[in-house]
Parts: sequence; C-alpha cells; structure tokens
Amino acid sequence: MSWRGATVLAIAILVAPGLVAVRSSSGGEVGRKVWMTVLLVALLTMVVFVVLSLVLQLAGVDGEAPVIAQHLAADPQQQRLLQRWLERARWARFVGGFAGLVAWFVGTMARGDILVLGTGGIAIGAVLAEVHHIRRTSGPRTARVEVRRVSDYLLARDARWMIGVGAVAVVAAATGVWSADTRAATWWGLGACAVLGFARLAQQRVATRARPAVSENLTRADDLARELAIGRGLARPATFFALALVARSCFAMKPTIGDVANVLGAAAWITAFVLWWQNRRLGLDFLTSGPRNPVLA
Amino acid sequence: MILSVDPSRALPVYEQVREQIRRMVAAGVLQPGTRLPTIRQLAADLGLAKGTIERAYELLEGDAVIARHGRNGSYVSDVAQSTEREMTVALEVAAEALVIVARQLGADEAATLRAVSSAWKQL
Repeated sequence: MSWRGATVLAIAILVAPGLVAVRSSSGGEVGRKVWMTVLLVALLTMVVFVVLSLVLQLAGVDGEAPVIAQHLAADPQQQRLLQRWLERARWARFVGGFAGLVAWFVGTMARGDILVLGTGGIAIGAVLAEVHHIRRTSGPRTARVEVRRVSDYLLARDARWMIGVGAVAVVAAATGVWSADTRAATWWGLGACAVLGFARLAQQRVATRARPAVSENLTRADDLARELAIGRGLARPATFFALALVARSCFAMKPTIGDVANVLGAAAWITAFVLWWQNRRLGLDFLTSGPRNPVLA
Repeated sequence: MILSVDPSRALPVYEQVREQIRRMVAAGVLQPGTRLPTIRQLAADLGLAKGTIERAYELLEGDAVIARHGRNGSYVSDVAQSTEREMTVALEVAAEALVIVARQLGADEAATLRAVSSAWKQL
C-alpha cells in the first residue's frame, strides 16, 4: 500500500468510529462503551501501523522503490540500477531525518527548531547516500572519453533555488554583522552558505563519480540516477535546510529590525517547510499514481 | 570513444592512456577543440590514481596532442590527423593480436566474430 493510501486509510480508521460514536451517543451507555472500544482498537491499530512502518523503513524496506523504478524506466536492467539508488537514497534520508527528530526531542527537549534539525538530518543523510564506490575487479578497466559536469545534470529550477537562497543567506549574514545583538544572525547565515557550498561539492562528486564504459542502456539509467541525485537528492535538501537556517538568521535580527524579522523568518520557515513537503521521500511518489509512462522508454 | 587499460600489462598504464587518446585524436574520433574529462573523473572511471592520468595528460601536452588550460580543462589540439592507410594498418595490427588469442583458445572464426560483435554492441 502506498503512503498516500495508508494515510487515507488511517484517517478513515480514526474518524469513522468517532463519527459513529457521536451518532450513537443517544443509544445509551452500552452503545457508547462499544464504540469507545472500537475507537481504542482503531487507535491501537494506528500506533502498531506507525511503529511497524517506522521499523520497516529504518530497516531499509522500501516497497515503493521498485514501483517508482518501473515508472522511470522500461528496461529491467535500468530498473534494477534505479531501484538500488532509490532504496539507498530514500533510506539514508529517512534515517537522517529520523535522527534529526530524535536530536530535537532528546537534545533540545522538544524546544529547538524542529525544521532545522529535521531538514539538517535529511540533508546529511542525502549526502551520505551518495558516498559510495563501485567495486573494482581485476583485469582491463574501461571508461568513456566524455565530460560529466554538474550543469549537465542540475535542472535550472534547482540551480536558481540554490543561488537565490545563497544570496539571501549572504545578505542575512552581512546584515547581522552591524550589531553585536544580531551576531547570531551572521552565524546562521554563514551556516546556510556553508550548507549550499558543501552541497555543491557533493554534486561535483556525484557528477564525476566513477563509471566504467557500460552499455548505452545502463549509461542512460546511470545518467538519470545522477540527475535525480544531484537535483532531488542533493540540491533540494540543501536548499530547504539552508532556508531553515536563513529563517533562524532572520529571527535573530529582531533586536535591530523588530517585527519585520519575525515576518521574514516566518516566510523563510514556511517556504522551507513547503519545499521539504514537496521533496519528501524524494518527491517521486506522484509517479506511482499516474499511468506508467517511463522516462527512459 | 572508449578507453581501456589493463594494469597487468607490461606497458605502464599512463602510456596506455596516452597511446589511446593519441590514436583517437589522430583518427579524428576526438575532434580539435573537444574537451577531455577532468583528471579526477577519468581517474575515478578507470579506477586509477590521479597522478597516473596527470602523467598521461602531461605527455599528451608534450606531444602537442592536447592543450591544458588549468581549471578550465584540457582540450584536443589542432593536430594532423592520420591517413586512412595508417588507420587500416592500426586495425590490422589489433586484429592480428585478437586472432592470435582466439587461436590459442581454440576458438574458430565464427566464435571470434561473434565475440567481436558482442563487444561492439556492449561498448
């Protein structure tokens, strides 16, 4: 079952007994007790479902990755390559995000900025997902004489977001310098710049990652995996994490610019949240809801 | 445009890279002005040390086959291309080496041609 279907089912399980309980409230004490029991069972089912799916995801079980891979490519070899990448990337992001939430809950006693820690965890997980090497076998080694650059794989939209957020972060960092009361804004802004810079290095590494001369089919699948890794895998998490840091930077400017800081901070925070929401689980689940029309036909 | 190196061969790996790129340029497969992969990328693809590719590029630059522009990358220079006769001779030499290996393995002509055809499609 897809996450979307599971969510709808979960809401139905939660809401339906409640509605029935309200309707039967005039049915006397026995009716209420029956429906309270049903509600309790439904809640328990929900908790078991959530815990189970959490454990499965932490264990790396990803039932959607094969389906998404089938929507990305028609050839089984290509599907296998893409599925492997999807499973690794989605698992690493999930573990990173989960670790961020644990850090928020345990480290800050649930008082810190959940978005900064959550998106930070996802961004770190996304980078770690791309740190791997192919195993070399003995004997002849092959390579194509071709240039692979980040710009070949990075979509203009993602590049614009990275540059835009970087520019805002620089302005925020520079603005914070003028007063000792807003020095924290500088550090948050510099942190956002560092995140984007580090993401750029990671993108460079993905673009030039080893690729032996394999068949045209596999080369195309590998190109698609690199495109997804550089854009959805690295650029977007870096952007929403940097934006969450920019939001902290804006909030830290309150001593000098007053309530405007809160407005700017809230705008950055909400934008970061929306970007994360659109990119959650790599933002590829929409493929599974439509007809199968593989990108690599 | 595929490079293939074998570290187990007696010829140093950087010489293998140099020779193959020089051959591609001479044959016109790599046109003047074509940008070559970065040292980091080619070293990663071939599973070699960066210094090995650096050495091959240095030698190619010394041969005036490529021009290096620092961080802007390395490009194929405008050098004289080999004639059709030279290309034919090079192919015949490679074919002879293949036939020798095939005969040592006891493979017949059909099996050898099938292997060539398969490799051609795969690469």
